[in-house]
Amino acid sequence: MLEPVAAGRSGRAFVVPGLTQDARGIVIGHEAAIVLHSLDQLLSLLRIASGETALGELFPSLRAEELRSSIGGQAYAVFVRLADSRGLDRFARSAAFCGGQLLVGSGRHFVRYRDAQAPYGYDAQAIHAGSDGEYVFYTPLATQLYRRVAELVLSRLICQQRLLPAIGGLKAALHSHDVREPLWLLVPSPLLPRLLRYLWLRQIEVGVALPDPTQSADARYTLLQVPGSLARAAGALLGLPGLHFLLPQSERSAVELGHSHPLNLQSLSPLFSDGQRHLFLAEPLGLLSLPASPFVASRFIVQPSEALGEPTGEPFRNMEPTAPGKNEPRPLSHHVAPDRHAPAASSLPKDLSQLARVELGLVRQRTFDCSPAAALVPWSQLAQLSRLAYRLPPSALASLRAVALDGGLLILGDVSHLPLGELFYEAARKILVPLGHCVLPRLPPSALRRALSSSEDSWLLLQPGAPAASDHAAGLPSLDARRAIARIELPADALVELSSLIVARLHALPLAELQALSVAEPAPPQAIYPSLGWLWPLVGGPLLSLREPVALPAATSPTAPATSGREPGRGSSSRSPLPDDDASL
Amino acid sequence: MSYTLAASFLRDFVRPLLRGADVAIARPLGWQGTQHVLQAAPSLVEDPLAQDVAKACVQRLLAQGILPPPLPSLADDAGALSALAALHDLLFLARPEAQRLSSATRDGVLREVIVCAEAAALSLAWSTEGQAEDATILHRHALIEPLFRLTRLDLRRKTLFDETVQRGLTRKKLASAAAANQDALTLSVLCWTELPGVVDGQGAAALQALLACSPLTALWSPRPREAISHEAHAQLLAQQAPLLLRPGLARGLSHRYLSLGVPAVAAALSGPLVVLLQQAADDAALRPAAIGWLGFLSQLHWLAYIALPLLPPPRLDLSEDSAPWFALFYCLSQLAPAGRPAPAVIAQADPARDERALYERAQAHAQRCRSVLPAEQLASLHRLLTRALATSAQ
Repeated sequence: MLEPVAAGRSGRAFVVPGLTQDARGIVIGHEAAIVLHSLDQLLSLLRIASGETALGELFPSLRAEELRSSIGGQAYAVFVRLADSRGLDRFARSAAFCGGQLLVGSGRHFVRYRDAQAPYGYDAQAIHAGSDGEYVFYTPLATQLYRRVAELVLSRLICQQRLLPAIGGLKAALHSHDVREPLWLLVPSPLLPRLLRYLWLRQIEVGVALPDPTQSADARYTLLQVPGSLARAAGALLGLPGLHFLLPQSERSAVELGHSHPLNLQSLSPLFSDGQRHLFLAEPLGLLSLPASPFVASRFIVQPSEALGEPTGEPFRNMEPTAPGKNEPRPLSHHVAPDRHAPAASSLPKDLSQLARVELGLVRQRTFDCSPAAALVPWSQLAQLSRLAYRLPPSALASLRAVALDGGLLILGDVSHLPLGELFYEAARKILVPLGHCVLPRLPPSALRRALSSSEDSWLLLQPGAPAASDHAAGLPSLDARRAIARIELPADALVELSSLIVARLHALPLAELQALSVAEPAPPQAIYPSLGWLWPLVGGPLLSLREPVALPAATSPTAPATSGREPGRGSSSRSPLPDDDASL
Repeated sequence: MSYTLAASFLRDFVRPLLRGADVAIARPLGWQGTQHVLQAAPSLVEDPLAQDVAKACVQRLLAQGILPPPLPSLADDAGALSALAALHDLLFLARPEAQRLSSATRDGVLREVIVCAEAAALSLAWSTEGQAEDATILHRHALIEPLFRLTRLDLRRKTLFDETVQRGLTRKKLASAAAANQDALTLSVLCWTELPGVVDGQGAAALQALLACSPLTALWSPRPREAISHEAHAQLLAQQAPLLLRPGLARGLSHRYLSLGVPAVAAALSGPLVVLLQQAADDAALRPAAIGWLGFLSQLHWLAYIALPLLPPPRLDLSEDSAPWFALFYCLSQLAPAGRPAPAVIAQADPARDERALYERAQAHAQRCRSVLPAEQLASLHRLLTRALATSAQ
């Protein structure tokens, strides 16, 4: 049968082909085979081996076959390409624990790996020369012939395993989750747009695995990659039906949070095919395989600008102050920003039905805590503005910047001194919103800035536009107070000193127009003498209380002298000093 | 009763005065009536009428190119109501019915006008800060300044034996009366011009006391020599000179004088300014006021003739009254060190910021001002100025 190999065996070839001795003198082969007698033993072996991180790299070469012995016995063999005695030792311990045995060899012949009786391994005394059986396993007791029945797909075996519920369920798993590790979120497709908006509004950057429209796949679900911090604040997501939190085990496999897989999927991940993501869900869903499409950041998916009103007006033409001598100044107008998402958008699939659209709008609301940062003064009030600007201290005037727009002069700075025009506050950095309005949905300033503006340095002026288009289309009165946003984007270098802009504008106006701009003085008051009555001053004459010259009265509350020449009944209280309205001459 | 009286006073007199409507000049309020109005002032603050008056105040100031700070209410500035009551009663004395009063009664009414006005002026002078805030001064100005715009329409028509004048008609009555009598003549009178002559010429003192309630108004419309003597005007200039040291008010006043035209202002202020210089040369207490007005004069010259990039420079439009105004600038330019930089406000107002060009224009303007007076008068003025400034430097 078998004979132990001596320590310093040299110059003598092994009987079994493919056997060699490594540096430690231990007999190894090109391949190793672990023979097990039941499927449970096979799974136990996989569970134990997958727990050994040192063996993880061997799994790509792992294959399993169902065998049948010459006497009809069923067996399972796991073949692995391993030519290292230390690795073989670990496999041998795992195989022994599961009730199997490890053999080394190559091709058809395999001989028992070393054990206590033969520390350096075995070699067969004679090789089996018959052609029956695909495999010949030489053991200390017998030489066994095995016939291959079928090849087992290990990944299928793994996927067939049922998840084991963890103690505490989902909430405990979320609570104990390491926030540095991302999570996957399996979302039913109908919920996807709402969920994306929900996460985007809370500035939670997620990745969306958009399905490839060219491939047919299960469109019922979409996989999101969310930051691990979401586990601490899952909030309203916990109650959503059909939503599953998954803990990624590898690039292509994940297990539902609150459960665990019997096998260590991280080590077994090489067994899964490249094109799929295998999601292990609790019963009754079981395994769900989705295409392993890359995650696309949600900022490319959510389109806040989609609901913005179209800029009204001509494109931005000129940023310089109007040159003197021209009758018509060249106003600055709306600047159409380039699409900053163009590169990312081009890589998105053509089917954008799953894209989320967040409709931003302006709504009237009290803004007590917002201080004015800009004012849009209409051109009709330019003369008044110039006169008021003349009154401002030079330091305050120098701090004001302005830009000419179609609707008027936009003045940036401390405009609390200017009682003119429409006031704006800074809702986010360099984003101006009219006082009394706010942007809905409410976004953090940084998110609002990122959503609306294309460049860091430019100013963005938001104004209420037309009511929502859907209301017009339905022909119904608007129930939503939200107005679309008309935005004007101003490059930072368009702002010039207010004083120079006023001077340039005034020079550009013809004299007649300038006079028309000046504020008209109200009509002068006109004195009228209402009738005092025929008997005046005999009746209702002046009621003098100061009969003699008196000293100057006190400053704040001058008191009348106590001495009065009139009797009490004839005080002025008995007669109104002012005439009736219909009195006539 | 106080509330009703105060409300009718605001409705019929104060608000139309600010809004440019028909201002009813009715029975005089007197000192007691003023006290009733003052008592009702705190309860009137929330009244829409008082709020309308406050709004009209701000609008008046804005229309004049003044950017007002938050103005006090009528309850906070009780002196403003006293001044308005005094103004009403003073205007009453110009009514023909006032002639039906006895001389003693007219004197009594005028005395109470002066007492009310002085009380208002003293409340301004005795404010907590030692000097009145700009807001209070502007508030008074908004309320009192319409006096100089207040007009009256009279109708002069012939009767069977004589001719008669109906004063203080509303536009509607005037139109109907003029239609009934084709020979009738409509006269438009500026009311304030009649005030100095009321009560046998004692109205000038009352008007002076009334304008002391509102220092900015006193300077806002320079009155010609026919309306006020040079000595009285010089005294007014000396009293209100501290106003020129407040940047906001001084800028507003500069703008007002520039819009009136420097020659017109010069004609009204030249004589009083020379009188003030003469007084300042003898009285050291008046020298700061004189220096303040000289600086203001220089400022107006710079703004009107030097800083503005107009070519050719505007004409001086000289008159006999305005000549000393221009000659004083020449004298000042001789006293100032050569190459002295322009005032900071001028340098900032000039877009070019070319100080050398500004200096050359200033020199050219000074030479133009040199020729406005004969050499003897110019030398005399120079000596006067030297005395005033040299003495002040000691």
